[in-house]
Amino acid sequence: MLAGDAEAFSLLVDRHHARCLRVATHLLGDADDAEDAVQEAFVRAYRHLGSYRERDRFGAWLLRVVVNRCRTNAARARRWSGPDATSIASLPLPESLHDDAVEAIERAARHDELALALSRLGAAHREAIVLRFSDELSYDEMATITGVGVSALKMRVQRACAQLRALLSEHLHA
Amino acid sequence: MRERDEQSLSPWVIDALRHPAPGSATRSASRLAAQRTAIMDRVRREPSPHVLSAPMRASRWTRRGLLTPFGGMTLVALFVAAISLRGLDERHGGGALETTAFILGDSVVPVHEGGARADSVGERLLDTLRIVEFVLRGPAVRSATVIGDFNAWQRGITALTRGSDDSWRARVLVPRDAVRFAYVVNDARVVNAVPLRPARSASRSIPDSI
Repeated sequence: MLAGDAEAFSLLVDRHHARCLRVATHLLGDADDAEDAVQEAFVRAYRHLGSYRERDRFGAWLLRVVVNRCRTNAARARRWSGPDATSIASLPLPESLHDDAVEAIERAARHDELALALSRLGAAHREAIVLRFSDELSYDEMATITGVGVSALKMRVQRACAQLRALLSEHLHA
Repeated sequence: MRERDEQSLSPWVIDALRHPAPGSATRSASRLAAQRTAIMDRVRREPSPHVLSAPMRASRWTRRGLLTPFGGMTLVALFVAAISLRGLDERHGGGALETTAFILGDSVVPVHEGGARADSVGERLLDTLRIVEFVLRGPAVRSATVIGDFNAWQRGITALTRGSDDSWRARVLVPRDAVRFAYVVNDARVVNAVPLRPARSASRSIPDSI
């Protein structure tokens, strides 16, 4: 693999693409930005396969590249805004809907609420909560990926949960 | 710990975090496949990554000029110079040397040692000599002797012995008029000692430029 076999790398792309895309989407709040970030992250990972040590988990190493890419892109763009809150209310609702469609719209609305709330968190808190819950990582794995200490990450997750709860209840009451 | 974290968030929040956003889910299969294809297209255009732990190829050393004739000669010259400097330094006893000479006292000794008859006047002649302790300290000292008027400046007669504190010492009986001494370090370097004076002791540091 380390010899740079592109075909072998394609197996890893198939295996980890969806997961990386999910994390990047939550971190960046925009699916298109996330696609770009993930694509760049995979290319960079391939380019720097030499620095990957086989004793590390490839998934964790790749996720570190993705998270770094998201950080860079977010800092470069400086245009993190999240979804427009008014877009949820302005969704055109058909007169008659199947149950599945109603459920899908509700789910989409919740995702938008969550994305909006995530966008209001600080970058560090957003990163901590996304890695903790979206990818179900342990704190040790999170520390490896982010380069932040375990105790600091626990504190960030706790604070992020509290803030997220407050933001979501505020939005629901509004 | 995860359970405690999860208790602090609504189940739907955790569920939303664990699953892709509906927007990306609806365009899943074909869109995701297209994205993966795009990634691999870019990857295939990249040069093969090299393993950082692999040794550098000879061609790269050559490009850097170290395997060219001039580069090789430069390396050899540097190597020889380093070895020579080290040897020179060792032969000369390394950096600064510190010499000390203590006058411990006087000792009365026979002038002749068995050369005269027992009942002769010479046998009964005594002389008073100084007991002088020569001390030498310095790095990379492998052997040291002291030479002077008292041993006719002959090397190898009065050797200093190494003490427990890495100093080299010798106690010598010297005539009162013998005031000039020198140390021979590592059989090569000659270090002039402080001339003995009537004072109780004398010491000085010898810079390594001598």
